[in-house]
Amino acid sequence: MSSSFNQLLLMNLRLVYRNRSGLFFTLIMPTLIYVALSVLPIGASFGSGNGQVNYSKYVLPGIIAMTIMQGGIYGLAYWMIDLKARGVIKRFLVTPLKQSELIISVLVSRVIVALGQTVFLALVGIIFFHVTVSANILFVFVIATLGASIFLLIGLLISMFANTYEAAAPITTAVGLPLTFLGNIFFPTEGLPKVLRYIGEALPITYLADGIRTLFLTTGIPKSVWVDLAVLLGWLMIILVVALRKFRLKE
Amino acid sequence: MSNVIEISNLKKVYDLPRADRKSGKINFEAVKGISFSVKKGEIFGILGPNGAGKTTTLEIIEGLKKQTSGEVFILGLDNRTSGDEIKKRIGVQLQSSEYMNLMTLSELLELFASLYESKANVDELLGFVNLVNKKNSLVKDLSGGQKQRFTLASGLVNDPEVLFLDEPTTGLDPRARRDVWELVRRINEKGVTIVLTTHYMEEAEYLCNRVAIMDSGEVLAINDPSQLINSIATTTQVSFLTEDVISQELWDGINGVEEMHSLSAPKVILEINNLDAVGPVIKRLRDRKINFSSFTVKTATLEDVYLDLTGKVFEV
Repeated sequence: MSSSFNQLLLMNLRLVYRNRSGLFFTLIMPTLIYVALSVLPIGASFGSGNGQVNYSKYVLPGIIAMTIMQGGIYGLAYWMIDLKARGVIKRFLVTPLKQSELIISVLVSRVIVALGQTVFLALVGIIFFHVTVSANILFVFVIATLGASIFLLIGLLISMFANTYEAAAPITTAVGLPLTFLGNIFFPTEGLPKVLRYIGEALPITYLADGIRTLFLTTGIPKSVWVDLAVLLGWLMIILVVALRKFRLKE
Repeated sequence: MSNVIEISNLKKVYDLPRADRKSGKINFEAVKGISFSVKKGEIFGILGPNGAGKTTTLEIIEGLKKQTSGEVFILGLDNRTSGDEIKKRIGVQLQSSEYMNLMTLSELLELFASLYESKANVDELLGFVNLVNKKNSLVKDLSGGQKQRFTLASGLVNDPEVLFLDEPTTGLDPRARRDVWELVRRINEKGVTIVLTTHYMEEAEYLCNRVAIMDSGEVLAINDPSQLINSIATTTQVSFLTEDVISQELWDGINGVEEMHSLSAPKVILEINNLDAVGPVIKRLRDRKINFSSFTVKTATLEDVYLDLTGKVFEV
């Protein structure tokens, strides 16, 4: 790897951990939501694979999936729009740096952040809420990386279409809301009306949450996880093709 | 080759956004076929009001935009085919001096140097712009003038042969502006050719060896500032206020006084073609015991040149 790539990666990671208000959204808010959902007397139990699971165990992978999704659709999109609006991207484009190198460094750093969030939230569950993670942790990372890549690329695409916060807000809401409530983040989608359920079943977040959930709750690697993996790969391919076509940083 | 930049018939046409398409006009010619060249070692200014096409011209040279037609050669390299090579050899300060706010100055300089596959001499660069003590400060903690100076340093990480400055002092207070001017001169003294845009007349007059005056996408004149000023038929104006009645005959025998206007009394304006006439004019007023105040001498500036070329008063 070239030294410029390392420097760019370092820069992106520094910018994430030095950003206090950003840290609130990347770590504290998902943790608070998870703790609240675990402590509140929701009391429901859900059947999942090997039997009954309490809500805290059920919702943790959902919160992880949601956090990964938000990091792309809100986090990266708004960050890129801010850099573009302030002319910072241009500053890089007048150097010999390749656009692709800049973008890949941003994506890689954000995937690292997503994996960090995954570990952090899992630890909160393990330490405070008796969650046991029986999975092959490497496989969790593979699924999380795929999911993060999909949502980061979607965030990147949003920042290509919208040049201002005002223009981006309706897009991120339109994309983010169905992902939050039609995927199986907070509850199984079986109870939803048919149409919404079908939409939910097409969304990548459903497979991200389901993949992590299955890996957390069951031992070994069940068949359904391979389905999750395959669907996520499919989504990644589609988004990648669109992103490569639409992608431009210059005028 | 002594010309660092050669531009001929450069044209840039933008498509207008749908909302701005009035009366069937679908595009806008920002740069209308301009030509100029920049000599090695000079400070070359592009002067004009906002919307004149200065930044567009600069951004085409820097590789941020593609020209619609025309040729641009930088250091003998064609910008359409050698963009990457050009970028390695030029330094750029953009109009916005924004960076990642949460990076320190030395981190950013190291980062930028790595983009040119080199190592930054952080202390030397920051020393040059008098910011060594801010080495480990975050960009967001810099003042406007400090940011602008840092931007100059970051444009020098690759030891460029040509440095482009897009409105380097816009928005700065007079003191900070002076500092930037001195730095620009010192960079130039090291042998770096400098191309800058500005809408400050005095900046162009003070800094530039040669100035191109741009308006509405066209270059109206190129010359060194004093030549441009001399080229227009404006004389020096002497003016003062007085309650006394003064006639043209008062000035008889003073060499260089051409004409007197006293239409806007109590203000009297004398057109003189020779600065040496100023002393005798004052002496004559004293000799005749004429009470006068607010005596001023105003020589032509680039503003008058602009007025002469465009028929418009220069407005930013």
